[in-house]
Amino acid sequence: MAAVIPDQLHDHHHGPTGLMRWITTTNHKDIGTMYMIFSFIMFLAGGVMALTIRAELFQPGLQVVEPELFNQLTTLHGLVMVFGAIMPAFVGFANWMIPMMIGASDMAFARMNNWSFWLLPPAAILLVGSFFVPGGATAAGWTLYPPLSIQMGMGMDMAIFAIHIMGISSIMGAINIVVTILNMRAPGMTMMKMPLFCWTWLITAYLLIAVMPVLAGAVTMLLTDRHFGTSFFNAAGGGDPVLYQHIFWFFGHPEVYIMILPAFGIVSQIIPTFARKPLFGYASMVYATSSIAILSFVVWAHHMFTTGMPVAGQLFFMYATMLIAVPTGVKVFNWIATMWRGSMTFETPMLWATGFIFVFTMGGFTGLICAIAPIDIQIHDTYYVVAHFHYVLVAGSLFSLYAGAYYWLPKWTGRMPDERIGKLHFWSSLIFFNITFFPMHFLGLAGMPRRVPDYALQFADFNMLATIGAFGFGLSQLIFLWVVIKAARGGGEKAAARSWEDAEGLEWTVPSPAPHHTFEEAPVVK
Amino acid sequence: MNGVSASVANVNAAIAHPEIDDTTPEGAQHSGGGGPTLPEAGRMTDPRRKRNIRTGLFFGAIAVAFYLVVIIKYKVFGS
Repeated sequence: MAAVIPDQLHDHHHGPTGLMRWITTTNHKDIGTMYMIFSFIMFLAGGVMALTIRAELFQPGLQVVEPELFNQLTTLHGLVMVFGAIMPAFVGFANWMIPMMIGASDMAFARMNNWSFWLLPPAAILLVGSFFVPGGATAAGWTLYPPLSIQMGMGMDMAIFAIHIMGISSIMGAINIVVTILNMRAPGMTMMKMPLFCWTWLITAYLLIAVMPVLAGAVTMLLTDRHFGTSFFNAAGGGDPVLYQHIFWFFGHPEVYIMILPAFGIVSQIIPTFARKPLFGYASMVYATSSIAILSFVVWAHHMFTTGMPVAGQLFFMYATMLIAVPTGVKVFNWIATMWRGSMTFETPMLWATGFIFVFTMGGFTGLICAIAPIDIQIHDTYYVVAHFHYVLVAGSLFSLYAGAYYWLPKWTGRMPDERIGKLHFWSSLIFFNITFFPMHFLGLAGMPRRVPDYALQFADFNMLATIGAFGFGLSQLIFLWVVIKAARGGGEKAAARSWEDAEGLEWTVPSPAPHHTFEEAPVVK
Repeated sequence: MNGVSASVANVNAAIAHPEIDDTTPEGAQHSGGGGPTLPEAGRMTDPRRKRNIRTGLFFGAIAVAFYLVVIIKYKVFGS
């Protein structure tokens, strides 16, 4: 491995300083940082909404918010977390790490990269600002189903506009990632030598390009139904509200994988490092990721079993959904096989990664249960589904984001994360996460409907428990803020270029923190 | 070891040890020195620029086509 030549480090940027630097930057690391800060702010905003929801559900009856605001909060919580927190966070990781992992100097379209990011704050303002317009924010649920979404006030239009903007941002970001990976790899970095994080993001970017325009089309049709006299989904004019559900979920199910495939990539980077073994079954991981992506296009109607569907349709979507367990199982098997007989240590990133495997797998299992049509008809729109997708999106996406953040924090800041505080963050998050969401399985099985601010008395105990867990989980996330601020301000142990003993990959060959410009001359990978 | 597992093992080995050839000028400067600054590199000097634009436009066109097809399909043929 080549040694770094300090005289040739290029650790400064050209052009404006201060605020203008961030507004005009085309540097992938700056833009990655902005994505991550933005997503964490949105995560906190979405978290406050979640805690308000949980505060209302602490006891039966109406205590904290009006039912209208409750519905707005559930809707915006979903939209903010999906489009404002999870997706931009992964794009931030992609911006920071993909060019360094493949030996590129920057993303393929550096200026478009800047624009992709700066579209997001106006969209977020539209979304969150819609609480303050007459009629309040949209309350149709994050899926924006008609007829509700056709009837709502201007908050709905703001949400539609925000989704269009965020969609454009996502598509541009995805194109940038695809082109960077296809065209900008260093000599010798063949596709099958790429780190798995790049592979999972490449496949995710294809998914984004395929499905974000479909969502944009669906919400455009909502907009024209609302204001321009069309009747795509308006039954009064001969339209079909169920058509919207088909189009939405044709986007919505691949969207689930958009939020989880990069997580698989992050975990696949971390486990080999701390097991001190190469990743087991690299090629099968690539094929499994591709299989998951392809299958994600043919399972959408499992979200719609209760809309009424021919038995043949139910069977097709049920079995197709269950089929996804096979490539997902390959991945879980490979992670465990990588750990098998490894010299494992459990630093904070590894704790998050192993925690991810345990808890995400539970979300996967409940997904299989939801896929069974006769069972789904019973548990549809209950808290069982809420529990299921939070096990996938919090324990899956969020835990992997934390795993990645602790793993690459030394590369970003030049300082090692505080292990003691990091472990406190992990254990408190894991425990409070399960206190929050595990009881929801029982609530759902007992029939508690989602998106309702009040509930029958028999659900009181589990709801109280879930609310206590939610506040504990929310407070635990502030620990992460402390870890990041400490490292960013130069606190803690100084990080070496290869910050973790057995970390492999091009990103660990550059100093920590990574210089402003890296790989301006492409490395040659043997 | 059969052929398939041998090739998997090779790939794993390559991933685990991505060596940089520091005998070449490119390898020696891999940590980021000496080359053109980003604005210069991004402007016209990168020979990959044309290929990047072509690939980007291709995927952009696919995205726009998907968007239009979804709307036009249901506008023309109904639901």
